Amino acid sequence: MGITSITHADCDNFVSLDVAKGICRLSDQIILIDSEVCSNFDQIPKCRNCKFFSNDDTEELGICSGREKQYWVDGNYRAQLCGEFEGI
Amino acid sequence: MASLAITKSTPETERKLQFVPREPKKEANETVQKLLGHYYNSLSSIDTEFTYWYTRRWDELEGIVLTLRRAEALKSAFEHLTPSIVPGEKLVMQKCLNYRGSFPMPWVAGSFLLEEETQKAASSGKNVLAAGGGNVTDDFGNVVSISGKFGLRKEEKAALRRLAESWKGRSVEAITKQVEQFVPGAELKNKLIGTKVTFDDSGYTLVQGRETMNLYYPLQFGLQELLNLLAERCAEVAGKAEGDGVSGIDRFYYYRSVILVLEGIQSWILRHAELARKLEKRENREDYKTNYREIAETLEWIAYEKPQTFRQAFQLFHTFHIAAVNEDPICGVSPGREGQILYPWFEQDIEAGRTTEEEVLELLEMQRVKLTCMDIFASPNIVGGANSGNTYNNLALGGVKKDGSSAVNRLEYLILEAGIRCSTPQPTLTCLYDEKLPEEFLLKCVECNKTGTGYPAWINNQNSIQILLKQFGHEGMTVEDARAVAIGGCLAVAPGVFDTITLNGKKYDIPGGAGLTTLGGVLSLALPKILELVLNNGYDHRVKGQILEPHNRIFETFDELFNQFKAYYHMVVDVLIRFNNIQMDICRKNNMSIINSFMKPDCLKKGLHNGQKGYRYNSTLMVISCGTITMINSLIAIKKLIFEDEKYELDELNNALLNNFGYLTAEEVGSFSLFDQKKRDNSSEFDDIYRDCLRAPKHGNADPLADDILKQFEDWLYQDVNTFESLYGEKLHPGQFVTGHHGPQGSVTLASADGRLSGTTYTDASMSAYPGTDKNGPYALFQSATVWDHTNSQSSQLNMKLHPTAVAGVAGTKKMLGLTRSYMRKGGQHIQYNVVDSNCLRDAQQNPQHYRDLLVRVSGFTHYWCELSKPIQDEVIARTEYERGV
Repeated sequence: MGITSITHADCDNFVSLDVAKGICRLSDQIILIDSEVCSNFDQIPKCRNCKFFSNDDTEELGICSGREKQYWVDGNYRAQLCGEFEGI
Repeated sequence: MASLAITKSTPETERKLQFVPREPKKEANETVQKLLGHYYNSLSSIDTEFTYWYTRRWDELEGIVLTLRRAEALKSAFEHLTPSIVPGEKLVMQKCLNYRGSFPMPWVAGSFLLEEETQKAASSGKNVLAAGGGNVTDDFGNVVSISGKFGLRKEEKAALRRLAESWKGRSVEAITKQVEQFVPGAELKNKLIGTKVTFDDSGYTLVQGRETMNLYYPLQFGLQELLNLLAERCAEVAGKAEGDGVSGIDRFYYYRSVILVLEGIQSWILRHAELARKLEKRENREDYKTNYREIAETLEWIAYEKPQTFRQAFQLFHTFHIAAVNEDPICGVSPGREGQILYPWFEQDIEAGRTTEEEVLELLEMQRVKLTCMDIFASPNIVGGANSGNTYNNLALGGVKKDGSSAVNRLEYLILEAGIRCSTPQPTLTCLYDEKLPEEFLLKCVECNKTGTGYPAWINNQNSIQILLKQFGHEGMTVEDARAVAIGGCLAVAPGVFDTITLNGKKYDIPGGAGLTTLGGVLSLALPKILELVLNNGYDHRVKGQILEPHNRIFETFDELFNQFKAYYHMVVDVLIRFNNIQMDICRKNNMSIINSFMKPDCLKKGLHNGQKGYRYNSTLMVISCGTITMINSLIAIKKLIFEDEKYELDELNNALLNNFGYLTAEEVGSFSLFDQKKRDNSSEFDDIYRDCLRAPKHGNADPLADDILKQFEDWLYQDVNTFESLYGEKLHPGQFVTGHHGPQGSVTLASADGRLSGTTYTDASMSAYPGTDKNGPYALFQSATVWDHTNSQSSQLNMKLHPTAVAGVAGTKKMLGLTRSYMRKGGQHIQYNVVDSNCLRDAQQNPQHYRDLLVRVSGFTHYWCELSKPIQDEVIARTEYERGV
């Protein structure tokens, strides 16, 4: 997979403004996505954290086997609206 | 000597520039300002969430009926859109994950996403897109620049590429290209695009838009009742042709498809409601908590029920607007006469004390921020070249009711007030000027103009009614329905209808859109480029190739030359329309509209989508031209200097044009701006002819020679365009509004006989004078612009720049209304203003950091100064600035 480090965009307290920044609901401040996360970080479901997700480390994209038809998926995608998501 | 090459002032002088500010403007409340501040600080962003879920569902359903497959894909995309509520917002729901954002639709066109070069820069590179504002023109950190404008997270690049690759060979663009090779004239069509005689393959780059929406069904029935009605219709028509052996059975698929997308939209609304409830629970601050609760209650209601309050109606209106915009690469799906559509709820809430005007104003201001945050992601040509990324959510005010009386209401005053307090590019406003409108309202429109927003544009309502009757009379357009006119996108006169809303037993006639997109046909035809080809026997010296068949004629008279221009024009349209018809046909078959189409009459009645002529009015497609006045001024100079005064031979003139009157080319100078052009050293060979070209009569001075040529052209244009046929079997109509095309199309056009230098912008709009050439004041310009019948063409456009001192104070407001009224009474179709001191614009060029919020009217749209390219900025600066005689 590509870049998998934790960012503010993975946090449930984060509201995305654009590709570089957003608002932290806890502090009401604008923060850069790639700045260091704090102790209140609250991980949102992501495809890479789902039991139906698989990839080999050489591939940027993985496979989702959670739906009837297996399909490629980006592990960085948000999964909170996926009916098949099962966290690992 | 009058000069079209304007000398640039030095940075030193510009830093010291003094300028008269626009009149003091009011400000939005603190919450709205904060939300607007978030926009100012946000980058133009894309993500692939909608794109992924659309594509995945599409692939899961291979083999099913295409209409249903499309509906399922749209449904899945809406169901998976991550909800987002920015603190302080009361009007919620947005295009995509990012507050300022958009997403690609490679199922329509995506080849440019796979080309590294076009990923990096828009079609005309730095001359089209500015580095200011939110444009992401370069990579930085974990952000990559796409098409020289949008930012994408680096970790999402692989997914974007995978998505774009997955549509190779099966997108609308790809299928079109497979078919096109068998169409006569394919080589010529590609040459015409390559030389930018026309701008793009317009049939699929923007699929819908420049039209007005119709919110009648959601507002009158609510989603659940609408779903129930659709289920009934499904059951009634399933398996029955009912006399229509071609599309009778299709009705079942269409109704099922509408049900599917409505379920997706319902789910999308409920996801936001769930988020609002979650935030309400988490929140400790009472005002925030209340806000989230109210958002949740509003959304939970409109997910099923007919709106009962203004806030519910407004949220539903906004939700369906965004839903329609998300259906396709869309530019200019306009809300229409919003103030009249939402008036029933406004009136009853105010009367019952359920809301106040201040609360309504706040919501209207929040709508301005939300719509301004919405970007469009289409081909680089469209995003960068044509419209600087503008989305043209045109909101029309005024006009008349079904019975012909003034349609102005109190809510429309508030819409204007919101536009003054919260000045943003979206939604742009248009006043449908009619003699019946109250003076107080018209003066309020002028007050808004004077704040420098560039809106409202002024459209002649009675002309527009005539345009609709001419264009759609054969499809049953009545005077009553024509009175429901609104403006689609920048300037299209869009057909409408009145429908009756019932609210608490009271009936209201509300206007809504009823016609197809106007984005098909041929656009944008570079008229000066066609004239250039006439002078060069069909050969383009810039690309060094024979574009059009050589005419091999020696012109003995002006009429012979003019006739050759007409012949080339006709030849060009004849080829281009064939391809556009095929492009649009493939689009309607493989990428049919479900969301936008179901809302307009008579798709639900007929059970047919808009690609099957489900709409009531289908004769919307146009041939739109660019550079009218540059071409007219050039013809005037040719007639005067070559055929009347016989001062030069045509070859001499052409040689001067090929040599750019002794100036360096724009490529050599490194700038296409009309300010930056430089003369070659020791070059005086063309000075005399250059001087004479500049001195030749120009449009806009009430000069009979000039006016006669314009009239001849316009009268012929109407007749000629009407000979072409769209894929809907309807006549094409001329359109004379363009957006920012005069920049990029000017950049590929050699010097012209009016004295315009190679590569520089054409005259803006279609009736504007070339900067600095209208010497006899605004009323002479009006006289020249109205020598022909403006109801023969869609919204011929006139931009005017006024110095703030010319319209200062109450007396100035009245003068400006008088000026506008004078043009409308002469039969002018459209006028719009920049009220600004040009020195302010020069200062903004030098010190952009101080001008993030400076707005200007470009050409059919208002945009942030800092997001415009330098050639366009310079063209706006150069426009004649009226200080006196107004």
